Amino acid sequence: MSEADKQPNTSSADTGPDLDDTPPLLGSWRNIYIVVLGNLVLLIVLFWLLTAAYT
Amino acid sequence: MSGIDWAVMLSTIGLIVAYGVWKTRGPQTADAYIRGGNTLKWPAIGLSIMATQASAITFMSTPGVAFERGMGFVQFYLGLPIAMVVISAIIVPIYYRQRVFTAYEYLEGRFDLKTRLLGASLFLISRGLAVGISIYAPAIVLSTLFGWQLETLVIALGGIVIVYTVSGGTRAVTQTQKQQMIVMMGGMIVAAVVVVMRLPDAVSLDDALAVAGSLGRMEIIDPTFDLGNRYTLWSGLLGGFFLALSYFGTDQSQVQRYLGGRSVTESRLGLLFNGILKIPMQLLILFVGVMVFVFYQFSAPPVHFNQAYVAAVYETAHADDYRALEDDFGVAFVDKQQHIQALLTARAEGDEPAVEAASAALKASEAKLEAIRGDAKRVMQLALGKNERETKDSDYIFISFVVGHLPIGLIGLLMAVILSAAMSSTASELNALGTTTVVDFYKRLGRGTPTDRQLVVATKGFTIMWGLVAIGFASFASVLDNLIEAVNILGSLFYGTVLGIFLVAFFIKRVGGTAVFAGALCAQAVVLGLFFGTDLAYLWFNVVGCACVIVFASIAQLVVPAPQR
Repeated sequence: MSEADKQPNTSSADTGPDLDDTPPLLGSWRNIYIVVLGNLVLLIVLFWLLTAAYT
Repeated sequence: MSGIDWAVMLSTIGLIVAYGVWKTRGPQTADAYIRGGNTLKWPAIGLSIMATQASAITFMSTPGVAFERGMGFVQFYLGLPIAMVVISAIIVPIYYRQRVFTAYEYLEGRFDLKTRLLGASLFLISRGLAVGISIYAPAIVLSTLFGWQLETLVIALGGIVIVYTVSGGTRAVTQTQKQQMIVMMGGMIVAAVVVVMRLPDAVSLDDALAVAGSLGRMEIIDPTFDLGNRYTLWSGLLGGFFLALSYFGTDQSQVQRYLGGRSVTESRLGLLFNGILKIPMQLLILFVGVMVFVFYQFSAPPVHFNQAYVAAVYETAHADDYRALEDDFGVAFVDKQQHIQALLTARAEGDEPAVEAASAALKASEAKLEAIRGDAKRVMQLALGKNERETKDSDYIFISFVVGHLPIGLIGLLMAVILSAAMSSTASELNALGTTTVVDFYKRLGRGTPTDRQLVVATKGFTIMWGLVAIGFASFASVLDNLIEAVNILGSLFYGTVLGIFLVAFFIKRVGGTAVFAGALCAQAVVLGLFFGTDLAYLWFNVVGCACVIVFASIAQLVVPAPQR
């Protein structure tokens, strides 16, 4: 978890980008990262099964 | 190409470019022009990131790779999702807090000016040369295939990209990339469906995959740990991770895509969008290549897919030799059909020993055909005075299939896919080259502080300059074939070092500018030594270069004064 994850919302409405860092779904960035990495694991397993089935 | 195909291709490209220019018209500030004004949402960022990485080579060469070697190339991308998570969690917040325009700008704040200029220079050299290839690679194939004039195609392609990149800056690049990415993926999905439908009625998708598997095209995962094997599970996870971390985290052509986000959240989601969709996208393209391979198991392929070269061979004294090999190829192809049928019958009956026997016979038959193809290439080399690399036809496989076997209208769409890919990657590269030249050199080293308008004008000017360099390089690339290969290798040699500099910057706070500068030079020397002295697969250079920078910089810090806080 990065330092930014722990920071409160610090929106800068003046000139720069919004530093608001609240994920829109799943509650936390950690959960979103788990989904991305879980998807990778699933793909590797799928590739493994396809390799085994057709080789 | 038919008139309908021309109309589909030109209208698709024209509408996308016109939309991008129209959407980003009006007065421009430097922030809006260079960084997109921090208005982009995550779908636009995600598509822009994917479109930047997807060049014409992706859509022309990748199916050819699958055709010749199977789907194992997808392992190259297995480290990418992990890199997306690391960049989202650690690197994006740092860039946002520093409010940088380029990744290298951050290096001066963390280290010193010379390290910033080193990073920016490595980017300008490697990307500045490579951008010409983004234009040249599709131009040479299309000009050979359709008889179009190479120089005209290069100038037209490069000219269109320069016009919309210069007119709207980062926002124009992103706006056009959204549409281009939709065309690219839509086109490939349609191509996948059509190629499967073109298989014989009696051949199911399962049968097609079985035939591909029997001929070694379905080894998607290779779990062996072999440092000399370019694509394995481990080289993909580890080497691919470092390569993706370097490319997406430190290469300005990618960093600029997500620095334009409306917020940290939008940028992070855009990167993670890429982390989820990139591998399926590559798998789809490889699947198309494998299905084209299966299609040519039932429908006789040409001995060589570059028909322009074949026509040239017919005009030489070696024509009879080549035609004799074509006859042999035809006989061997008919012979192979009985082994395919035996395999499919044995599978349908569930007769495992018969499946094994038919599979072995099919492999032997395929090896015979490959041997004839090899002989034909050697005759071609003799007849045309070409070398082995020049007679490689893998880039022509998919495009030949498209032109020869897809219906009218779809050919134009697939041409639009290839040209869109060429334009999307080139636009990002020109946009980043212009930005880096202005922000890290013109603005930083010039006298006085330029006005907002001067910065916009300078960025436009340098973008045009890099565009002309790219067109010039692409125009002369045909006489510099070996240089093209050298340029591709050049990029991969530097990524590890650049990533090492950034990782030290992010994580090892006690190391200062002088130490990391010295460490980077030493690491680069090690990578070059390995390149010239060993057969190490190139993905590992990213790991070695990065690790060496960290180790050498840490050691150097022990003997140089500590950085001032």
